[in-house]
This record gives sequence, C-alpha cells and structure tokens, in this order.
Amino acid sequence: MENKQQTRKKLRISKNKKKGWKKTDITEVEEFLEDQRLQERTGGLVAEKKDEQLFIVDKAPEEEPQIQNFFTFQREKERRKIQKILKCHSHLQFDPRIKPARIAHNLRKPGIERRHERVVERIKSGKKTKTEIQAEKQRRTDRKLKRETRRKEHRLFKKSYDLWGTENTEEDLPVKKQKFNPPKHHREKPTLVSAVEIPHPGASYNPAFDDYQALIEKAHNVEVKKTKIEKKIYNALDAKFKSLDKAELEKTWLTEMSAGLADDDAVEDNDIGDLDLDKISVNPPVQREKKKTKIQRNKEKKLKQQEKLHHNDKVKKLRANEIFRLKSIKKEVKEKEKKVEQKKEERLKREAKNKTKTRKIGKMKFEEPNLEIKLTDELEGSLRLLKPEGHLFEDRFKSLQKRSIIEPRVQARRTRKYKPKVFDKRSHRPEET
Amino acid sequence: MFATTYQENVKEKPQTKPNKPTKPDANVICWVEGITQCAPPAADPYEFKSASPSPQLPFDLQPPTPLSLFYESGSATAYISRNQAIKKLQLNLADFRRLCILKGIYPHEPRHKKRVGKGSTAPKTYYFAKDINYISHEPIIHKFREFKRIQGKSKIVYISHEPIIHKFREFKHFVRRLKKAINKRNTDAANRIRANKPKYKLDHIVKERYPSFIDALRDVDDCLSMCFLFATFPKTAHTSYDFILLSRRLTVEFMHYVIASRSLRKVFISIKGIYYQAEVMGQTISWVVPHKLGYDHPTEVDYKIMQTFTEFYTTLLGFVNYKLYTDFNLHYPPKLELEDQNSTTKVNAEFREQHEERLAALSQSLQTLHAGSEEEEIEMDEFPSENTDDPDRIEQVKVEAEKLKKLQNLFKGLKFYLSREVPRETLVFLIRSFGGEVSWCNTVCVGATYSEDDETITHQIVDRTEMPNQYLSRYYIQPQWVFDCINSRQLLPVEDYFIGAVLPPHLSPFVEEEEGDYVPPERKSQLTGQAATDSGVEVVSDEEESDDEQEVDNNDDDDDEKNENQEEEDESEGNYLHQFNNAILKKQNNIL
Repeated sequence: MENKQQTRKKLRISKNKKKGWKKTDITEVEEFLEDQRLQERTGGLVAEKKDEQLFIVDKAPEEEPQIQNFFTFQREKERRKIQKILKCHSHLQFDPRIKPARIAHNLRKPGIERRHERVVERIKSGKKTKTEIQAEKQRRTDRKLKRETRRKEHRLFKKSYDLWGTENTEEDLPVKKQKFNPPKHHREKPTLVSAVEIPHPGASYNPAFDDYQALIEKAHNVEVKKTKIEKKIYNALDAKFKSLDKAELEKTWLTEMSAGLADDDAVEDNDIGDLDLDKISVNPPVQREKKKTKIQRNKEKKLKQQEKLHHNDKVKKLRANEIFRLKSIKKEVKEKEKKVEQKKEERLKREAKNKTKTRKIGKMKFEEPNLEIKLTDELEGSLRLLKPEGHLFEDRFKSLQKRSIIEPRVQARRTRKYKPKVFDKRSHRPEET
Repeated sequence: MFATTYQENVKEKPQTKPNKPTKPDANVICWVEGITQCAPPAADPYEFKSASPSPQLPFDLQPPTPLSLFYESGSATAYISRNQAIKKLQLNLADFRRLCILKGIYPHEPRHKKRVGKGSTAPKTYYFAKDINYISHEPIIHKFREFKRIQGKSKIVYISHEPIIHKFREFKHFVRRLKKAINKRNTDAANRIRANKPKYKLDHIVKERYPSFIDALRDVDDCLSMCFLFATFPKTAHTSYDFILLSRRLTVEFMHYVIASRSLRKVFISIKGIYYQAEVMGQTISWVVPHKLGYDHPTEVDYKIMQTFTEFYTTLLGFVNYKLYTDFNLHYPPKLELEDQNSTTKVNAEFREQHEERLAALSQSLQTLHAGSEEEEIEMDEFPSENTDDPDRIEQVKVEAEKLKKLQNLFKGLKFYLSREVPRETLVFLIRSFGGEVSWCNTVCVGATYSEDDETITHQIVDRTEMPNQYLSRYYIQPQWVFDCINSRQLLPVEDYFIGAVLPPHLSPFVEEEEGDYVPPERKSQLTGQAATDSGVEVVSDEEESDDEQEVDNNDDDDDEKNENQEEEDESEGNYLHQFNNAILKKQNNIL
C-alpha cells in the first residue's frame, strides 16, 4: 500500500472545504473493496481460507496422452468448436462458486399435487374427515328441525291447545294479548239477520200442500212486482220515446203514403222571421234613469244600521229582563228536554228496526236472490229423484251481502272496444256461384 | 269461467274541498310521524248529537249552530272512505278486503252521507276511522304489505310491535322470487321457494274476535255452513285443495261431536240443502249442508272472498272442535273406538288416509280421553219445591229434561241398514245422533259394521219402487221416516213410509205456530200425537200385531215387553204431563 502511495503523485489540495474533498483520489480503496466484495461473493475471502479449501490434491492417476492422428485432431477441433461458449453466454452460466442468496430448507412437491394425492388416497380408503362427519350431522339435525318447524307452521296443523283456556297463564298461551284494544263497536254485528235463515216450509222436498202454495204465491208476487217495474219503465221510456228509426218512419209515413195524391205547392214559410229579436232576455231591460243615486244608497244604509241597532237593543233588553221570566224559562227547558227524550226514543226504535235491514254500503244496492222453487210438475215425492234448486254457495254469498258484511258488486264483463275485422283468406275463399 | 275481476269504484272523484283552508288531517300526521296514537276522539257515530245550545237563551235568539262547517269533527272524521283507508294502510284493494274479512271489520253506512263525504253524496263504501286505526296495528298487515322506505322525501315508519313483522314482509318478496324462478323455468328454485312460503296464523284473531268460547259458539252457524259447503268442492284454480281437505276434516270432527254428545235436535230436507239444528252447550246452532249431488258451480260468486272467509272459519272451527272435544272428555284429534290405543307411532300417509276415511264413515264412536271411566248419569239437582217461588217451574224443567233424554235415545235399540240409493252420510249422521245403529253395503263405503243378511236388523231404509227379496224380520221404509221421527220427537207408524207408499209431507220443524195461525193437518196430528201419546211405539205395536200374520218376527216377545214398559212409564207420568205439554211446546218453539 505504501509503495503505491509513494509512486503516485501527492495532490496538494486544501481539505477544509467540501469542494476539495471530491478531488481526493480513492480509486485504490475502491478497487480493493471491490476485490474483497467479489471474493466474499465467490466463496469467501481468499486470505482467510485454508490451503485445503483452496487447493485439491490431485489423486487421480495421470491420463495417458492420446495418440492423435489427423482425423481425431479434426474431430476434436470440431467438438471444441461446438462446445465453445460465447463470452456473452458464458456470463449467463451458473457459477458454482457463487452461493445462492437464500437456501429453501423445506423443499417439497407443489401443494396442489400433494393435496390431490391425499384426497385420492382418502377417497380410496372411504374414510370421512372429522369436519365432514360433523357437517353431515349438523345438516341432518338442521333438516329435521326445519321439517318440524315447517310442519308446525303449516296451516293444516291440528289445533293442539285451548284458545279459551283459563288455566294457562298468559305467558304460556301461544296467543298473546293484543296491545291495542279494539273499538267499542268492534264486535257489533252490522245487522241482526241470522247467518242461516230458516227456510220456507214450502221449500221442503216433499211439501205440504198449503206450505207449497204459500211459497208459490210468494214467488208469484215477486214476479208480479218485477213485471210491474218493467212495465213502468217501458211506459216511461219506450212507449213515450220511440226509437230513432221508428220515429223517423212515422214522420215520413204520411207524406210517403200521400205522395202524388195532391200537389203541395204551398210550402209554408218559416216562422223564424216573426220572432221578436229584441226580446231575447227574460229580464226587463236596464234603464239608465232607474239607477239609484248616492244619496239614496246612503239613506238605505243608514236605515239598515238603525234597524240593526234597534234589534240589538231589543235583544239586550230581553236578556236583561229574562231574570223575571225564570219560571217560563224553566218550563221551556223542561219541554225541550222532553222533546229530546221523545226524539231519542223514536230514534232508538227506528234503529232497532233498521238493524234487520240491509244497509247500502257500496255503489250497488243489495238485490234479493231469486226464490228457489220447484214447479208442481217438478215435485217428486222421493228423495232419490230430488234435483236440488239453486246453489248453497250463492246462497252463502248473498247472505253475507244481506247482512252487510260485504258490499254487493257486479262482475265486470270484458267488452271489446272495436268489432274484430273479418276477412276471407285468399286461399280459402268460398266459391262464388 | 272463473276469471272474475270485479268492477270497483276504485277511482274516486276528487273531492270538492271547502273554500276554507283545511287543517291537515290529524290521522295522517299520526301515521307519517309514526306516533302510535289513535285519531283524536271522534264523535261516536251511534250517538245522536243534536246541536244543543246553551239552555239560557230562548230558541229564537240562539246563535246559528256550528254544524261541522269545515268537516273537522263529527261524522266527517268518524268515517273514512275505503280508498282513504287503503292509502292509509298502504295495501292494495284485494289485501284490504282480506284483512277486513279476517279481522271482522265491516263497512258502515253513514246516516248523513253528505257530511261524511264532505259535501259529496257520491256512493262510496265507508268504514269507521277507529276500525281502520285499529287494524293498522295488525301484524298480519305486514304479510301483505311491501316494506318500503322512501328516503329523502318522508320517513315512513311502520307501526310495528311484533317480532314476526319481518317474516310477514317477505310475502310480496316471496311472490316476486317465485315469479322470477318460474319465468326462468328454474323448477328447482321454484320448488324450493314454494316450500318456504311465508305462513301466518290467525289464532290471535280468533281470540280477539271471540274473547270467550260462548261468543264463538254463537257465531259458529256461518262457519259451519261454509265449511260443510267447501268440503264438497272440487279443486279448482280458485278453491285451494288445502281448505277443501281441512273443511272436510273439521266438519267430520264436528259431526262426530254432535253424535257423541247427542245434541242434534231438528232436521229439514229442503230443495236447496239439508238444514240441521243442534243444541251445543246451551246454544242453538243451525247450519245447512248441500245435497250430495253434482252441481254446476256458480259463476256469480267471488271465490276469492269466499275462500278468505273459509280461511278464517277453518281456524275458528279447529279451535271450537278442540274445545268441544276436550270439554266432552273426548280424544282430540279424534280416535276411533276400535283403534289401537298406542297407534301414534306409525303415522304414514296411507295410514292417515285410511283413518280419515274410517272417521268420515261416522259408523264408529270415538275414544274417550280417560278410557275405562264410564260416563256417569248426571242427575238433576233436587230443589225442594217449598223454597222456590214457582214450584211448577221445577216440575216443568224436569219434564223437559226427561223428554230431551227420550229424544236423544229415539232410535236406541234399533238397527238400521241403508240401501245404496239413499244419502248415506246424512242418514248415518241422523241415526247415530239419536242412538241408533246403522250399517250399509261394504261396497258403498268403508266402515260398514254388519251386512244385509243380519237377522237383527229392524229397519232397512230403501228408496226404490220395489224390492224383490225382502226379509220378514224387518221393516222396509223410506228415508223420510227418519227425518219425520226426529222432527216429531217420536217413532212414527211405519206403514206410511213403506216401499211404494205415498209419503206424508215432510214438514218444516222450524215453523212456530202462534195461536190463531193456520196449522196444516199433518202438523196438527204431529203435535197432538206428541202431546197425547208420548211415543209412537204404541201405534207401532198395533201395527205389528196386524203384521204378525204375514211376518215372522223374531223379536216379538222382546218388543212386547218393551211396549209394556213404555206404557207403564206413560201411566206413571200421568196427566201431569199433559198439562205442561202445550206450555213446553210453546217454549221450545220460542227457543227456536
């Protein structure tokens, strides 16, 4: 090291400034350090190594020198040529002196492969893992529980407890008490009509003569009433106002029939010209002279005010004097109370009567269903031959309507907006004769 | 055919509002802000409030009455129109209808439509506002209602107090999911979704509508009629198979109870259907059952609505049956007498079906809850006649009770056999509920207990013009005999009801004659027969004697003994009976 320093020329530079530091020559140090690093990378420092590490005693027997003829020489040459590695490639070659940066200490097969092997093994052996067994168990219990709850939840499930039981405390009952009390009228029925109405004795399948006659009469009366209403409507509408085409025909009938009988030259003039055009309004015409003057208006106003004051005075006086007519006031009050009481009674009576009536709770009015009857020739004396009249489903539905539980409605029928066009297909056109 | 859409007045005309600026509806405010507070105390619509001024003033000087000028109180707020209600509850019309049916809320016709309609008299359906407020608390509502929360605009907080609420909200969601699965033709998913259909129970509604059992019994007429009707239906798009099966099961259960408790009183075969009347726990219950024949199903009826009714009624009848059975010491669900006691272990579908069929045959009686303990005869309490004000009344009641007992055992000791042409279920139900034994050809139905060649059969019920091979030991009678015997509360002479005989008219037992009314001769004879001779057995015995020449009667001796006993009983009751007979008859009629 000292020899080198001597050979090199010493630079004289002031080193008290940073600028001067850069000029210091450190190539030697760098080279040395680089050399050492290289040695460390390639198998440790040479200086520290023992001889045995650096050198190998060649114990192999010495090879006999090969006899080379021209051909072998040539071949060897060729071989070398092939074997010769380019320098650029040789850099990429693995250098056995360089140790790998990290040594993996648990070198195994890739994971997927290993797992796959294990799974195959396990499946072959037919054994189940712990988790599988547990999952299966859990699945089974879950399914059972679900099935049970579903069965319990099912609507068809038989009732298994007493809803009105007094023994059960409230907590035991499946039905908890409602938090909200229903309104007072909640359990009142809309009408007092019974759910299953007593049938007419004439509706028996084998009725007594009189009962049957009574029922027939009832049905007859209903029918008479219906025809009466129909007739009334007819009289009010159809009889009075003929349909358009008919009315038209009637108008022209006389002229048509009497056409040609006589020459009717004298066509009557229109009377429109005679109308007084001035008299369009019904009210008398307004005249300017009749307008009230301001004085007149003021006067009227004053009169009105005076009247009002007068009235108020009167009222005040009356009120002041009422103390003297206490007796009569009492009488009045009593009378009034009596009246109210009377009215209340009447109202209650009326309401009680209305309780059996069907209310109108919707758009439509309730219509009594048709009376079910058997005509005389349909009456069979035997139960075997009985053909029932009407349907109980309809009867129940109407009963609900009659009791004002549901509102009567009419089935909406679908109507077409336009008439469907009809045309013949060319291929299927009927032959014209 | 069943596609029924019903015309609605859904679109209501915009109401003509009064000129004055109205206050916002208090109810609406409550709803929007989620305050669980009812509407301000509205006027009770039942109470007539005359605008009464202070009484100090004479009438002519009173100030004009403030008659709810701006529709802020009184009937205007007591009522709510259907559309308003629907908007308030955030339901659609169909769901609203269902809810009202289930909860038993009916529309109401207001007295002053103009006031209620705030000036408009357009025909509308009105409900009580209180009712609507009340049902807004119903947890089932959430089942119908889609949960939506509009953020930003206004917070809609649903009034919910039940933990099942989120389950209920699933319903619309369920429909949507199912539709999607079906349309994608994803059958697996559709089946899975269908299996997990959200369900709800109506138990709490039954309890709420009928706080006590008697309340439920009083209202069971409608329920029974509907269930009996539904039990006969075929499965269609509008009649769910579940309800049909359930109705059938419940009605069979009820019939079994009536048989066991011997509570049937009257029957009337009308051209429309069969009317029954029973007395259950002191309540008179009447119901109507269709004839077992093919029907064309009516198209004028809204099936949806009727099914909703049935949905509620099946729940009600289920609980009523449970209570009736347990109170009567019967096993519920019903078990037949000859059934194995511990047969609960093997319950497969086939077994269940067989069981149901045998139950529906009505031929066997049911197991009691505590087998072995024989039913003891309940004796009436003795009241010393001196202590009461009306000594006659006690006697009257006693006589009545005795008559009732006699009626309940009307067919006791008689053995019937049904031909295949007679309505089996009706007759079995009737005969069994008055103590008779009955069987039929085992090819007609399961549950036949003895065959036609049984010599101990006393009556064979036949409805044909002739019968070639007849047994001499029994009477061949037409079915009407059974009905008429029950209604006249005695065994009628059989000869009027023989094969080919022209039958006497079948009279309605529901008619009550007042004094001075016309009474048909047949009814008269029934009534007088009931009053004078207490049983028809005497008449029968006469008839038997005349028949003795032709028929070989095995039980002749027994019958004679019976008759003698009967006569003795009659004598012992004596004239005392006759005195009260009319009074009792009248009373019975009044009960009806």
